[in-house]
Amino acid sequence: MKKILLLSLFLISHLSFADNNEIENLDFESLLATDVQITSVMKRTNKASTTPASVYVISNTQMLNAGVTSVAQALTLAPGIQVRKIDNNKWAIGIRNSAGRYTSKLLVMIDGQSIYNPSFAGVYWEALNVPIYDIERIEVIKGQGGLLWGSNATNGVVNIITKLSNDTRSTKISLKTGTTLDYEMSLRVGGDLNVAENSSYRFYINSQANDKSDLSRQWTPKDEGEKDSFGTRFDIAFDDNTSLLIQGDYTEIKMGQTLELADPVTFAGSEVTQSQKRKHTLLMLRLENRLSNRANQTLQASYAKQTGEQPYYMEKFQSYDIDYQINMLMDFAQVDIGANYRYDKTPFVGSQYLSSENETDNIKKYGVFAQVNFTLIKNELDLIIGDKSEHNSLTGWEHQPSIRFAWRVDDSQFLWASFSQGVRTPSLIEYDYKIQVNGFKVGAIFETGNELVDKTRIKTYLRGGNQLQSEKIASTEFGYRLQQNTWNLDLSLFYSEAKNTLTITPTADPLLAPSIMAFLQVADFNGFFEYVQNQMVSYKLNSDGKQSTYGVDIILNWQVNPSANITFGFNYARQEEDNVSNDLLGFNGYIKQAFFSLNKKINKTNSLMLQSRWEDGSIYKTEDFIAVDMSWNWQYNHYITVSLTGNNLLEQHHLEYARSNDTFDVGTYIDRSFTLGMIVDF
Amino acid sequence: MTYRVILIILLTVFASLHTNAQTSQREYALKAGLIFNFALYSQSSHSVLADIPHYVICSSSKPFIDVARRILAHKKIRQRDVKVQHIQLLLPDSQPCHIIFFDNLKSYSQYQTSHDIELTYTMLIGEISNFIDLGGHINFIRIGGKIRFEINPEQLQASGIKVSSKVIRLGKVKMRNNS
Repeated sequence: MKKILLLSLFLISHLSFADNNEIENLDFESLLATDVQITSVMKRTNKASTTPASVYVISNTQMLNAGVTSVAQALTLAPGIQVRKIDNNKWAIGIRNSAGRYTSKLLVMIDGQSIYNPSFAGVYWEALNVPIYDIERIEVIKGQGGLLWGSNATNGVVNIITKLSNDTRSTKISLKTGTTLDYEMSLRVGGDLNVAENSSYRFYINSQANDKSDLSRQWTPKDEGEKDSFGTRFDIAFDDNTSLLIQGDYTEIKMGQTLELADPVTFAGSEVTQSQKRKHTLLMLRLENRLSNRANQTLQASYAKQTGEQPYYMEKFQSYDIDYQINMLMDFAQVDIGANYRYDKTPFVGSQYLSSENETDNIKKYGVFAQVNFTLIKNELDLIIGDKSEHNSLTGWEHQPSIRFAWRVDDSQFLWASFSQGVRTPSLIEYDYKIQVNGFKVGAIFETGNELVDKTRIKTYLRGGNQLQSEKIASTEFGYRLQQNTWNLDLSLFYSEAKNTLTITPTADPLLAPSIMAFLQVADFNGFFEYVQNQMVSYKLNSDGKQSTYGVDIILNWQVNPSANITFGFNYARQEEDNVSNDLLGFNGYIKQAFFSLNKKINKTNSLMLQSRWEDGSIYKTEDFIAVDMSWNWQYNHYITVSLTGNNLLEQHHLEYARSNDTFDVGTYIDRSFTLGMIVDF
Repeated sequence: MTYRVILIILLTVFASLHTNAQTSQREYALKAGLIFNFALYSQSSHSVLADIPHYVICSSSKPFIDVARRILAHKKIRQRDVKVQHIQLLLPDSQPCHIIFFDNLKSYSQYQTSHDIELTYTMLIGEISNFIDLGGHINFIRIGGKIRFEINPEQLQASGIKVSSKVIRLGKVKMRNNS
């Protein structure tokens, strides 16, 4: 890596400069949505069709046409993402890997602010309540993004980019109701500020409630929910060179749920139905400055607070983030350099089911990154090299180098290749927590032949450990894009090898088996039960596994005519673990998805959107299913738009997630639903 | 680790010495695209412009012209080919332009001295501070890394240019402050 970097620097005098001045299309809204200056979200401006990575952008129009009511649901619009509803509130979302509620390989950001929860290094999707109409776009980057965004972006990045407040200087009211969605009421007001020549603001409140499902996988469904949010955004342009963004959001949710937790006496899984309450606060300040017309710098400071009250689990986390970045167009290359610091305050609150192994009450991260884009052959071949080095207080220094090639074969063909190493650092749960899980059956350790004894459970814990190492993923990707007049093809092949993946080893007292046998030989069952009550099995987490993943993403987009657009997608990923002792963490299997969508503009005021996803269910322990969604939008006049959306139209209900052993959550069957909505803009 | 830090510092210093003050081609490309949309969503009632076989976009800015020619090649506005014209001096007897783009105050001042902007039938677009106050129709501004524009519908109307409500809605309406 070092040699390549030095060699490249030696070669710079022979390389030519190329400014990426190409723009996607001349559509009015697209031009306004295009970044001319590098933002911390994008790290650099780039044209999606010539980005050497697998990228899919969900536009605001797509989200509104599809009638989605949440960010998580909006992600179903991108082919190749695993989006599974666990119940009416909870989601399992993943890319190129099986999705889980606590997936920690996907980095999610709102306007460049990471929103992950330090305990499991993933996202509570149900606590995201940004009004859909104020989201400019959602960028989905499949594959490793660690170089630019740091650890835990090993499988992908989701950037939720909200609109400039300058573009929302109006009053908007959105009202929705339906068979599953009880109501959604949202109000946004926006206007100019008198702080600077070009400054503006918006303020929103958003309230949503949903009913519970009709049927649960186990016990009675309790997944009704309520979400309330308010937020604001200020964009202040002091002049053409300096602008300031200030934004804040507060969300409070209360959700019913069914959990399966170990019974205090029998240690068998038992029903717990206490609701979950969460309060999330996000604050962010970003200063962007154009040093010259070829250099920009960005300083971003953010704060996040997450409070969660779950049965037997309390979270009171606070995060402080500072990022600095400078982007330059130089005579020989584009150069991006940045530094970051993050402090997570993670006080531990114990419970009957939870204790701390190492009493870790904070996590610190700091690092630097540099990326250089050399043009090897002008307008034809680019080389992009870079590295992100980050220190975290759990595992020390981690390095994430990357080399990418981008080759514009001709006006219609583009080839890219990427070789990178990503890092997934242990989450707080993995590093520090000891969690009581459903009890291990005696029969699973050794069979006595006595059914009552074999089914008796022993208190069992999942134990994290500070000996864990970061998971390191070496990834190779190849991509090909073909652009024709009316259709385009996007193909990605990927292969990754991960080492230090998590494994678990059950350990128990070596005298357990002989002691039990001794009780049985004298038929002392009271003594047996008393003995077993005081025994313990530990699932100790280790980082000695290996995993390989390979697969393909195909997206074909066809502009049938000026008013109709069709997208086909196919995604396949196979995951192979070398040591699968328990499917709590690792498993061998594959994910498969076939995707179809039709966006049809019927006339000037009516549009129709039809989408279908066929999903293989094996890895989620469900049947395969086809989810068909349809949405009709009618612009009644300049101010009012009415929509009718149907989700899961083919079936009365289906199960999308049944792996309760990795989440404690008992999934429900996802019902067919209809939603009627109205947006008033004035 | 140390070599990385040193390398980054060196690169930053090196970079800051080598950055210069040319507007990036990407920015010009975006502006050319937006100007194309202004043309698409507007109509001039002036007969001189109606008789020209091409739709003419003029500017004295050579870098802008170079980018705009690439971006707007083979584009049409109401069945007329778009022609991007570089004009060194914008004199009254110059070839008529549907749109003139000014990237600096000097060129606009020169235009003002040789033309009565109250009587102009050409759409005047700039990227100049206080351009609307100086009688311009549309002015590009940068906010949050994006290009936006101020628009003066009254001044456009006075010049016989009818602009679609879509353009006005997407821009920021600004009235001329003569004081």
